[in-house]
Amino acid sequence: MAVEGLGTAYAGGWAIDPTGGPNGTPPTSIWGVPVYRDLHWPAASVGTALVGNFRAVDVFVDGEMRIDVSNESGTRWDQNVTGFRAQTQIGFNATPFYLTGHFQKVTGL
Amino acid sequence: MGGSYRPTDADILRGAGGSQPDSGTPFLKAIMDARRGDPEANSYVKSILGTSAATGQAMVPNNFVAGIAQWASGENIYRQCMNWQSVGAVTGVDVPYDTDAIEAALLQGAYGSNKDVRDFNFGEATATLYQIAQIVDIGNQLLRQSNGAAEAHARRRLGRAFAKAEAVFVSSGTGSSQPLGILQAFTDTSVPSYSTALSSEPRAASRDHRSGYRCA
Repeated sequence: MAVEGLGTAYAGGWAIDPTGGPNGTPPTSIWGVPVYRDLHWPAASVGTALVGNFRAVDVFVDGEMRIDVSNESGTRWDQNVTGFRAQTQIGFNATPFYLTGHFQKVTGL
Repeated sequence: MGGSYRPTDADILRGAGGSQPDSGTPFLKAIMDARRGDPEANSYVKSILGTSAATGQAMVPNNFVAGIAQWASGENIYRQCMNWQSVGAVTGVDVPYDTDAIEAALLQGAYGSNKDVRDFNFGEATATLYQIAQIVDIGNQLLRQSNGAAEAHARRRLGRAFAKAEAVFVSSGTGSSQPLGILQAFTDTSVPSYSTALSSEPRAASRDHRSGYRCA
């Protein structure tokens, strides 16, 4: 979102001041709408943003993250190693939220 | 060990050994008590962790899970702006959604008059739960001798790994053997387009329930 070229004569200026931008605290907002940066945004979608009513969107998990520890399985005992296994379950389907207009894409950024 | 009294194993388990000046803290009693209250307390004595052999042997740090969750939340922006619900051990969740426009409730007439009855339709999608997991191996000597640094590093790596997986699923999951992400939902061609007026993403706009679109 930090793109130059918004002046009336293409004189420049930032769409969002990069100082303290989407990663700032508090985050940058546009007319009161907070702007966040996704650190893991897909490379294929660079230049695209999502505008959405994120608070109304549900993501489902099975509960607390589970941690199991073993120093015996496999060759861990022989090699004097401890393995930490973390696991959880996640369920998400964007279709209902997309179909009900909770998201719009902004392209060409 | 001076004196004639030597506590038996049963004494130690009862904590009686603690009355002897050279017996130290009755830690076995503490373990036994913990087991009574915590069915998972076997893990309490299962692993070899901690910052030193003196303080750490056989204790899983209580903050390990919390540390991972904190990292997972900090690096996954969707953890902060979306509604994450814990649904327990299920394979999937049905998510209903409106397909009809909201119609204003009508003013009613005389007392006892019939009220306006409206039926409405809704669609339903399934959010299947998929498991994500990762194992991090660390040498026991490093765990003991790094003063907690190795353990903290494991927490950080696991937390960031989970954050990345979750964020990618939410934003761009393919929907095939993984969650269907937002960007992928825009490419859904299974539902025909009802609008050609908008040059970008017409389907999302036309299906906004506020637009008055009614599902057959």
